[in-house]
Amino acid sequence: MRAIIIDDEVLARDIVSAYIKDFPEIEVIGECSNGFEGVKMINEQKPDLIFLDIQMPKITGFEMLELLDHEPLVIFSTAFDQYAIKAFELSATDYLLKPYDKGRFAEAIAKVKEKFTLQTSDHTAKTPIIYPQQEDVLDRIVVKLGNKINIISTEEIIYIEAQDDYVSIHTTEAKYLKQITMKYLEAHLPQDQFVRTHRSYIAAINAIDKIEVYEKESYILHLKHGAKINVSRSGYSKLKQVLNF
Amino acid sequence: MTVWAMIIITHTVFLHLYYEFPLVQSATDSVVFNGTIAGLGFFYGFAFRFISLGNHSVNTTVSYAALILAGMLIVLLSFKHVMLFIFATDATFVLFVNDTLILRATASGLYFAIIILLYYLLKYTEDLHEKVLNEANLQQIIQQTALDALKSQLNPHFIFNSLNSISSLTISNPEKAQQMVIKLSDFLRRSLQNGDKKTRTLAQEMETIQLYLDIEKIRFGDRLSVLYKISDECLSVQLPNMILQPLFENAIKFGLYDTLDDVEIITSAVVDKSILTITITNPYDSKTQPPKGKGIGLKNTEQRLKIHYRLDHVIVTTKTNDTFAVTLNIPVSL
Repeated sequence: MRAIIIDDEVLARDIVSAYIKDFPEIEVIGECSNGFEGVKMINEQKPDLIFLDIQMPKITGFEMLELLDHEPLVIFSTAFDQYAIKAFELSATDYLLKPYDKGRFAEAIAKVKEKFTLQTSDHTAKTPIIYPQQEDVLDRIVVKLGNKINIISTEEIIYIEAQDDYVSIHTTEAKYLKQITMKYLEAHLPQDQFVRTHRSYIAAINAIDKIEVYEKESYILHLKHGAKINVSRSGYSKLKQVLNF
Repeated sequence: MTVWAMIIITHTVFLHLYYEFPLVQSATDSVVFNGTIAGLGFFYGFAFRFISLGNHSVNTTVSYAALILAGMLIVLLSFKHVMLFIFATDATFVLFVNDTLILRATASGLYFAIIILLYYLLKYTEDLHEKVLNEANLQQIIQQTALDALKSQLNPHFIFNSLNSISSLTISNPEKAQQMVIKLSDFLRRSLQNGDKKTRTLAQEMETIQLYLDIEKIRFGDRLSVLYKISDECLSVQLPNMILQPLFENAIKFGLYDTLDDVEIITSAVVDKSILTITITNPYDSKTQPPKGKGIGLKNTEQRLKIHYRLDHVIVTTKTNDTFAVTLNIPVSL
């Protein structure tokens, strides 16, 4: 098995390297000190396993996972257990609380091996990324455009459009694709800033310019910067509510 | 008001029954005399709202006496002229007015003295009440800050990551592991001890800060460098306990935890014209951090300083594209 260690503290990476020497079947092929390096190295090297810290500069371990084309097994390691539930919802294989000893580390490796053999024997068993079901309100979204990772503040978003398995996020500057569901975004974007106007559209309330009648019981929403999006009947009543008309 | 009404009625009845002046005359006498005192009294009360009691110097005593004398003079002059103008034809009454001027002077002086005393007491209790409130408020903030300081130093993220670093060092570099255990213990001990004394010197404050930064330096290695530009005369200046700690925690949080490059935290301190100016500068990335105004740490520090020194604008923050600086301007108490 090939593994990558991602942690912003060198001493934290060192201890993983030290413990893993007891498992010659696992080879550490690289170390990264932040999520940006992590995305790049994982997509290039396609490791089987990553050790992932959560609180890191710029983008968190969770946000990094959203940007991967390749999905390795994940062992989270963090100092603080407020993330534990979220980590398991992200279908982490295991979760190490710092500081941890060799025995606990060995347990995590055992779980990884078990899952790894299951995966290799059955290629369809690959677990898709499940987005955390929790109360968090998003204040930013991390996306990848080419090789560049962008952090979009929710305040920059004008509207979001569903496109099959992806959504396209339109900001004042550009348009980004991200693999995420409309349902998830609707639930986690700040309620006072966004409104779902249609099965396929979420609009930023601040960007709304005017509403135009299109056909009977169907409307077109004009947004700043010239965008126009569809409004369904239920979307119209939601708009009525948030805009007080 | 009711007190004055009663005084006016008593005065009237007394003149009417004892001196057997007609009711109108008695009443006019009473209203003019007492009314003037009452009017002036209200005016004094109004003035009292806007002066502070301050220290009990000779000056304040003199000014209270001046107020009484001025009141007496105004009352006597206005009373005499008004009475003589209205009742000029009544010789007995004119005589009575002239005869009783001395008595009236004494009475009005006494009234004014009582009025000023009452206002003084009222103002004094109000001030006392405010003082007590302020003090209680201050106590609460100090306790909260102590608690926050404790929480942030016992910040699980900081502690457990430090312990993990130690765990790692025991394998690779036991000697350094020991150093870090000792630094961490020392730092925790200092954090737990604070709160008894209200102030300590900048030198003592910086020792604690240095321990904190040393630990972060071991965790993050070469990425963190620390520069001190503190002139010697600053070191003995007294500061409220643990006042700088939240500011350094902010510098670390935004400068180190959330950037990728090497980080330099610069601390400078100078004393000029009895003002100690401390500036802490850290790099930060304006892009990943939505500007959210002042954080809790900064707000608490600001409030503590405001109450301690009774001054506004003790804290000034300056942002450029890539650096954040917080400056404290603290009066040096001798």
